[in-house]
Amino acid sequence: MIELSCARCTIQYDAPGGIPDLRLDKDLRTERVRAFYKVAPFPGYPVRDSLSGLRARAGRSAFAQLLDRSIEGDAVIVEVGCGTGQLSLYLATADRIVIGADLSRASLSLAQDAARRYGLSAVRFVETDLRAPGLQAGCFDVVISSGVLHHTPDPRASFKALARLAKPGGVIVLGLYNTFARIPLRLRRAFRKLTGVIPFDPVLRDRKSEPERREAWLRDQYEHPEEHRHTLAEVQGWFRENEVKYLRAYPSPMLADEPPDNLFAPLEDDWPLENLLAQLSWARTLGHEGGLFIAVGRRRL
Amino acid sequence: MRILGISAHYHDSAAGLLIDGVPVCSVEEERLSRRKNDAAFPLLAIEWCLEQAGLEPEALDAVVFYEKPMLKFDRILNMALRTFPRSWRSFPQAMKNSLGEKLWVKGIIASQLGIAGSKILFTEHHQSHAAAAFYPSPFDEAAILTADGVGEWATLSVGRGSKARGIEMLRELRFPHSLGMLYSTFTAWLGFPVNEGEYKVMGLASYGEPSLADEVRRTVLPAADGSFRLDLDYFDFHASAKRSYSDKFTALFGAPREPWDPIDLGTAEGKRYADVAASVQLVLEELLLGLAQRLQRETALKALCLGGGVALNGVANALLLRESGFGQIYVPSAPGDAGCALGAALWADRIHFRRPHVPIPDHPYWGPVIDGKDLLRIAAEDGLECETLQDVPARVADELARGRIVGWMQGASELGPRALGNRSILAAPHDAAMRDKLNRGIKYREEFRPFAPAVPVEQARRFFDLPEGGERLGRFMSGVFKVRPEWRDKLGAVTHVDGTARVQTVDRATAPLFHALLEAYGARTGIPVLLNTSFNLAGEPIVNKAVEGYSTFRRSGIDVLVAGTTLATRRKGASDAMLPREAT
Amino acid sequence: MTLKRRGKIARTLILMGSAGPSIVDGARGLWRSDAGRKWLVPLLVFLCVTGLLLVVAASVEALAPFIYAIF
Repeated sequence: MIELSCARCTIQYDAPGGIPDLRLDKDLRTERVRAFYKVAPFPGYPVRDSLSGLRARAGRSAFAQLLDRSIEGDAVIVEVGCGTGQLSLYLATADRIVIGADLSRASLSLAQDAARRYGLSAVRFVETDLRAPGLQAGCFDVVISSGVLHHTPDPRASFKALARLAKPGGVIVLGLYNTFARIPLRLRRAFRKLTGVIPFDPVLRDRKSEPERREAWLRDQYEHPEEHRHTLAEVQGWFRENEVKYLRAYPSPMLADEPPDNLFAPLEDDWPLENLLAQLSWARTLGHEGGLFIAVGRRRL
Repeated sequence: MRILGISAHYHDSAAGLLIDGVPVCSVEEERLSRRKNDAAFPLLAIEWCLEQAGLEPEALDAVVFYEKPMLKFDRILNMALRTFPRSWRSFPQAMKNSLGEKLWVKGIIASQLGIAGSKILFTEHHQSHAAAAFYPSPFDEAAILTADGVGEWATLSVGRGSKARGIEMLRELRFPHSLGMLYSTFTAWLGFPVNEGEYKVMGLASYGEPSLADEVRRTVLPAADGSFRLDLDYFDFHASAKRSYSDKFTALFGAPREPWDPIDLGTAEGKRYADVAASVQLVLEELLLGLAQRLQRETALKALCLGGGVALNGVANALLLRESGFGQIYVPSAPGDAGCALGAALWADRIHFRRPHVPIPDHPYWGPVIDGKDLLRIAAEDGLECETLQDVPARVADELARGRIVGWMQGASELGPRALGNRSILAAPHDAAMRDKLNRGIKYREEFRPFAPAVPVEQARRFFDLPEGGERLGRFMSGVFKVRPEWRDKLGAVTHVDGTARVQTVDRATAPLFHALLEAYGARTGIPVLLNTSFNLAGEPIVNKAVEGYSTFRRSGIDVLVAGTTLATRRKGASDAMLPREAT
Repeated sequence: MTLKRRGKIARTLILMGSAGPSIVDGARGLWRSDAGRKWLVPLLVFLCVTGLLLVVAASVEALAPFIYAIF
């Protein structure tokens, strides 16, 4: 067992199993979410995996590659809500330092094991609560949080805590369920409630041969105890409140826009009506994955 | 006469420009669009070629497309009908794939370039391959063998070329019987991406025994005319868009590998994959050798030109050189479809317009030229100071001798899939640890894929066991040869598990700076050999301009970046200080 | 820029213009090949015309973006 102490104050943290526990207070709703992930670490690992396997999976996602391409080789990155850590591990190349933070120790142990298996040393997993993360504010080049804030009791307050982690000039990559893009999944969920059958979910179908990963998706999408949905305009509001400059969203909220070369390059245009239309179209393009979209901002200097 | 050649729509689109019978420039679309294996109509490449020569599209005398789309469509339609009950599921997909842009190439060229339809010509796929393999070769007369997956109908063709009299095609093998498809089917079964994963099959083959060669032979039936036919019961690529092997195939070889399952050579399953790879490699070699020997007897020629994607198989190429009876073999730097852009232009020039042959410069460097000043500016914007070198080879050799990994960008980029010393990552070749470092930190490749050595051609025999003609075959890294046993330990990072290496023999006249670098490195270490791998990260095309080189440098474990005479050194990351050290 | 950037409509018109000769080419090739395949000509022409409509009506097909269920 290792003990860590805060560089600023005198709080001592335990680090059982090499994963520091930075959580301070514990409230009921957060505990419920934590308990949820204790049973079902998400997204989990396939039975036999490897770093090249992980990279092969990431290779299917233009977004993962774009994110990797856009981050500097010596960036200090924190992924808040890293789950079982795949994205953190994928990004831990070159001289980057990656901290993967999550509420769920069960998920983090899987992540830690994978890091050990892959021989990656520049990634570190910590158990923490996002509202009082115990990580030094203003010290990260890139703050990533995908599919997390919408599971917290107060996403807007959570974002405030998240934004503070970024360096002035640092980038925040935020993935949230979109109000419009989530509609197809909510319809499927409602249908399931009525009939017990899920009519059409490509991810479930894709994972037919992997029952554990299928179950993980099922729980995460259909049985989560805490879920919110957000529009791009709402997120832009959070950005403004926290001195974060909105750069772009992914997929592009400009209609008929080419995929970008750099995820952190500001979008040429930001027109609310066009944004709205694009979000409606996401119901079709993102619906199959549960309607998660990405908003990117840069903390002002 | 100004002829633009275009290849597009299958994989690796490219454009090339021929003026008065001599290539001026050629580049793959992916290098400019930055999309790996970009198969789109190569607008950027065309534009770049025209800019290079200062031409407006109207000034072109002809635009040649590298295959005949209507013939190809005819083939797809025919196969769909012939395999009807089985193919009905994939029929809509096949039609959708081939009915879109691919069918209207003439219209697309006319509309994009704004030239008259009468100036647009089409060559056949294997004619383009043959011209690309023969005309740039150093031989006045040579036999020609081209083999790939499939073009229109032909999948393999043999012929003879004469610089004075042109190319005469003797025979062809027609779809669905195809060496390329045979190998690709195994590539797919082994869980690698078809059209790029074939290298991996070759690399994996060295770890296995060809114990399943008889099973592979069962899928390939010898034909009366000395060639072969595929037993279509084992294959499904002609009837299905999704899967290339049939149930009978999986009954024979077992379940296919999931793409993301790791290959653990310590397990029985991993060993089986390696054995299957070794077996299909052996059968491919046997078939090619039989075809080449017969071609040699028939033509009584001394030289052979190889084209088509199958010519990227360096192990087979080296075997042909040793045993086919041809004393000399030439493989162009881009034997695949990208090389067909220039190939189609050459065919049009020499055969269609009947113009006399003009010698073609013997090098692979037809792409955009790097400017070291760009690196200076880009690095300065990023707050990194660069040095301007007086003696580039000396300084870079120092860095390499100190164990640094160098990103090396010089002159014009190579045409074809291999970095031949102008867009390369270079490193010391001595230690297997260097190979693992490159695989882990930069290339993210499977451990079973070897890295290639580069050596000055004059000294190649000292380290490598080259047959006669090996120097020539090695110039574009087209042959795999044995590393001499006494050097295997000292060349650990570039010696494959079976004691071989895909050598690049560097010629002073072709690549003077790279040659000088190798000699400078030799002067410091006694071994003028460097590890040379393409300058790109996994999943990205080879870098082209300084900006891509710099971005790759910043995102990987490359220590030093050199472009022209500009040198940038990696900032030391604060990585060690930041991470808490574990006591346990 | 050496190449003129034409509008989509202009390009489509040129493409349509060249389609007739292309189809005739294809049909002629089929007619001249072995005799047993002559009956394919009407099918070829029909499919080509369908294909042409496909091109004209082509919309950018949305690829699955894989943002969330990457791993």
